[in-house]
Amino acid sequence: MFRRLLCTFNTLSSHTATPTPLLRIIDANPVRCSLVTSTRLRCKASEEGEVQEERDPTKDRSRVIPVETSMKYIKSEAYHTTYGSDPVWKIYRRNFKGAFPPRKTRKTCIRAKMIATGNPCPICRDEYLVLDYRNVDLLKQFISEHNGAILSYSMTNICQRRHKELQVAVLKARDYGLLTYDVPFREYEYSEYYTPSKNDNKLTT
Amino acid sequence: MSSPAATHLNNVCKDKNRDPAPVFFSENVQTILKKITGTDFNKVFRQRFDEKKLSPPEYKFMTDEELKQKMKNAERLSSKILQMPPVLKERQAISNILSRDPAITGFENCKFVFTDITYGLPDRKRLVVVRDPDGTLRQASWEEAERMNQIYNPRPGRKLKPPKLFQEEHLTNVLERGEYEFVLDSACAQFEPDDPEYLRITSVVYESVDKKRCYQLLHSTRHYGPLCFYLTWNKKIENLLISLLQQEKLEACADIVRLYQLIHTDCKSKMINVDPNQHLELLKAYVEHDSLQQQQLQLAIQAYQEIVRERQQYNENVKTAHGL
Repeated sequence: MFRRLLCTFNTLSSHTATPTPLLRIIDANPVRCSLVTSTRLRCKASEEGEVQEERDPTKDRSRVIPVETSMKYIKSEAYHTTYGSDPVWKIYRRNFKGAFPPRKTRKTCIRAKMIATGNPCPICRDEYLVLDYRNVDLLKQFISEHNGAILSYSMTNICQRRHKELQVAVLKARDYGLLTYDVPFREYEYSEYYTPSKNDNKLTT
Repeated sequence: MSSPAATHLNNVCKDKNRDPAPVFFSENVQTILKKITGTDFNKVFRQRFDEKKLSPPEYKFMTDEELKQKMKNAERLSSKILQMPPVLKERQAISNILSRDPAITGFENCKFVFTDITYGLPDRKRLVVVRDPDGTLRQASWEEAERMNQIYNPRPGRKLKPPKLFQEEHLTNVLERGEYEFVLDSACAQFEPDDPEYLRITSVVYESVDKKRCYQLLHSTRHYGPLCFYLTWNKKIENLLISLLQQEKLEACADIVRLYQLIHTDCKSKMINVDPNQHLELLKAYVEHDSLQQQQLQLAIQAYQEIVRERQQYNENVKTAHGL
């Protein structure tokens, strides 16, 4: 009976690109049975090069979108109908148990190039929003209009990985001069640079 | 009077070795520059986007004396904010060898840098020496000393590696968007005023401002004084004078001509004794004797005089219409 149970046990269909592991029963004795997965045992169909996995196209994030496309998208009609004039993170609600959200947002919405959650964050849900130092229109939406600071993930609700990407992109944009901010004030001590000698002629009109 | 244009174009490059520092720091020049900079409190005390925590505004009831005191404080603070970055000559490379010890050649295949980290020393007075692999003990070059100072006493707003925005292509991109104050502030924070890089960046910015005639963007900022000083030093004040005339700021025009006379003490218009209070007369004297683009300036003066005349005429007409 135990063996029949094991036979009806289906291999887990994973969303990974690696070939499916096969179930192997070593011994008929139920005590010494062990579940062995071996990537070496491939079925012939995959060896011929056919794709045996069905990737959900709505959750597939293996395609890398170039920055220029993202910049064009933000100026497009499609973006305007989706988001209007609000920042992209405005219309989004986090799902959590209880009245108070967890202090940190999730680590990442995308695992192994597929969306791994039912409610992805504002950046991950739209694959045409690319956080890059050149994409200034998108970066400005994540910078506070009151003091120029990068908005916290608790306000924008993006996942941790995207927040780090955002921070890097904003710092790079500031370095290249694409984003401006107010530089800390540099005070000069004139005596360090010039000491008037007694021989200097006083300039008169 | 022979046209001075042909000879003056060569004269601009003649005084390359002349040190602007004694002229810039002299009292008369400083008063003129501070006067023309202006103190527009709305611009000086504007909202700053520097990631600092914001506090809600305070509303207070004050007596007249208290209000006067607060205004004095505000003026003192504004003069601090409008402190002009020094205009200096390009610095010379340091070549001060303290000792030669060929006996220790090859002791290491890298240099050793020794920095004096005594508390309270200004960066420029700090001793930084380098022991080269060939045994020479020399004083560190300007770049090495600045790097060490930044590592041991980091300044806010300064990075170890200069930001990419100071490279040519990115700089032109930023200037096209008109962000002059941002670039100049960043340059002040990153470089010393006698650094060749700082001088290159500031000259590029000032030329761009002059080309686009956007002097108002820098008015009431700390950079307006050095901008006017640079333009006057290089005899490029025509566009500035025209734009000031169009805004009908005669006193500012006269101040700039006076600054020109202070910097270029050998100019011809100085010989003519003009009453300092007659701003237009002073300007006309400059245009006649020292200007490089006489026609444009004369046209601008004529246009200004026309406008003044028309306005007077209009006021008089209104008065007669009202029966006064």
